[in-house]
Amino acid sequence: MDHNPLTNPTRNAPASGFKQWVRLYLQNSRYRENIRRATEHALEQRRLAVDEIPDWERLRQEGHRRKQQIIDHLPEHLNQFIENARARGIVVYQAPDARTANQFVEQIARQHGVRRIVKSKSMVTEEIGLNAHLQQNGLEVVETDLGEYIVQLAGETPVHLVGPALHKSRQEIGQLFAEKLGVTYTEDPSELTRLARNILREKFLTADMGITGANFGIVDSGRVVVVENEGNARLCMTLPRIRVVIMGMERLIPSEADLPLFLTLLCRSATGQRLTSYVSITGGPASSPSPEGPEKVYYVVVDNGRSRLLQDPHLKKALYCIRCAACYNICPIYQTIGGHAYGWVYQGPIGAVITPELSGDQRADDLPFASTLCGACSDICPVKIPLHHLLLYQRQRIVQRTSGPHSEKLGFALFEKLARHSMLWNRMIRLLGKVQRVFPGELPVPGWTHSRIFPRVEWPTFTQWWQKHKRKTP
Amino acid sequence: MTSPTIELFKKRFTESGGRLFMPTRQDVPTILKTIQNHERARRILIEEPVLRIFPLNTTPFPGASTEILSFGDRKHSTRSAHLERLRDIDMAISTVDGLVAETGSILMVHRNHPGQWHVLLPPAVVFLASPHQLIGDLEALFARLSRELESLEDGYHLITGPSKTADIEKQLVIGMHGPRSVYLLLLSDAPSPERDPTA
Ligand code: SF4
Repeated sequence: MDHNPLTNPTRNAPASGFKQWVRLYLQNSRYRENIRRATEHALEQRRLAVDEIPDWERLRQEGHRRKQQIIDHLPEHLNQFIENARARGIVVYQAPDARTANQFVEQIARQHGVRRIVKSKSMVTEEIGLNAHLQQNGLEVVETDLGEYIVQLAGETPVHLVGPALHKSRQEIGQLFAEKLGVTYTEDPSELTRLARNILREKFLTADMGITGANFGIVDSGRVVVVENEGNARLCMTLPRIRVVIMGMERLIPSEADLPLFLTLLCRSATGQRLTSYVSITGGPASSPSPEGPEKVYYVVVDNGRSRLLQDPHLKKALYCIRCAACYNICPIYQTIGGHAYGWVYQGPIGAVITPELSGDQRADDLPFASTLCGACSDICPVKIPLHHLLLYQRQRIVQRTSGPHSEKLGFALFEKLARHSMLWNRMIRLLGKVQRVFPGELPVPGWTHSRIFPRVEWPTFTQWWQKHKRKTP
Repeated sequence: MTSPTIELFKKRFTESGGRLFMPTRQDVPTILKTIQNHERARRILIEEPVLRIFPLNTTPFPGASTEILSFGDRKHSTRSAHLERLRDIDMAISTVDGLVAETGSILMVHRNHPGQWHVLLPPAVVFLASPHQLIGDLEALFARLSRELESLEDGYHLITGPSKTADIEKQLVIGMHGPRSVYLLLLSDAPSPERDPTA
């Protein structure tokens, strides 16, 4: 797809509507093939890793329970976390929304005379549109995770939580590198990786500020945990003078004693690894003189709509999410349409649940309807978020808020009338059966039979059959 | 340390892509030279704590320059000089602060080392460890760490195999931003810490 819907959920959401985006992406067979291959591969890797753990179910329950403890008392835990981080010499800023978060980061950059920023993968920075903000203000921001680097070069956004560029084939990436970096075309993944490594290494060595996300914030130590395979997050955290960690305010776990559990749940669900290559549990600024630094450490703790989720007794469960993307991979909708068709930063089942609240944008109201409600997401979620219940719940809320389409209301009112009167109902069914026999083709109901098959009336109808046979039974 | 733990560690460390040797102290120089040869390393950096378990400064590497990264450097070196010094290292030799059998991981507690860049920037890194540093699983690791809070002040990290990526068509490529080669020399006859005269 040569154009991409959004860099920021609030600004570039699909104005033409979700269904148009879906239609567009469904036509792109190469994109769909890449998504299919990647999700299948991820599911298989996960299965192998999870099968190694005999009491996986118990771990999921335990993960759910510990996240519940945190989310049920989030303000207290957050205060504790911030207090402990400050005791380590870390400057903590609580950002109520995207705008204030972006401005704060820009301000730190100015204060420290920063020109070049290296960044590792962080969904919350995608959510708030940080890169665009910093670039508009004259700062250079370089994504250093290979997948993120690829989508940044292409001017796109991540198509998946864990594999931002998994929709691209090696040929597309080869062409992109040749075009944007002026290198000779190659489609060999090792060679492409080497090219990116060399370019990015120079960026690392000359960057003034490193930005990372956080997989977990640890309440009782004020540290953050970053999980990765490439080593780019470690470089972002340790090479530049200034370290900035940007995290959603729900990202907390009680203590480091919870890490064995959460690392097991996250790594095995996300990439099917026992542990990723690097797991960093960071401290504050260097406590004794060191040329390595960092000299200053900042945390930006972002709300940006999370409080709206927190206020709802059901939706707050969505804040347990550890962003493993297992629900993306298993979702038949995601497998078919891929991340970009959603048109938002968070995709798949969890994205469909949280985006209406996070964005506060009505255009996200279509998302909870993009589900078969098969429940595969709830079954695979490592922290047992009841995703399909939440999808249904979101639908109810949206229908109540918007009162739904008129034709649907009319249809249901008619159905109610008929269903209450058996005489009317029987007549109606018989009539329908006759019509269907005369016109054997599809009965079109606008907006409904477009993606569904109108059921055929069995002939004779059950009531007719019953009238005939009931006396024969003893 | 029971031998099933060692066996599990060997298996998991190797599966994660690390290369394991279990030499006697006597064999260490030969193995290091073999690795140096294999990696074609010209500039080798040895962190000071290594010298406490093995007197490597007396082991010259043929055709290579060897330098020591010491705790004292922290005070005297400037940031840019330090970076200049480390950016072109081909191979680093470091100690570890623990080994996790369940995951085949190496623990690095930052305060115990003269820096963190040297195990991240070069294409090859060689770790020296002894079997008494083995820990069964992540639970046991974090239980132990919770008793050593003081040393954790500057943070810590776990390394499991080489740096890798699968961002292009899910194909695994080794050596993205960090080392592509991770070696571990588990000294089979290393004295336990209590009896180590050099410790
Ligand atoms: S909702 Fe569950 S399965 Fe989906 S990304 Fe979050 S933790 Fe993973």
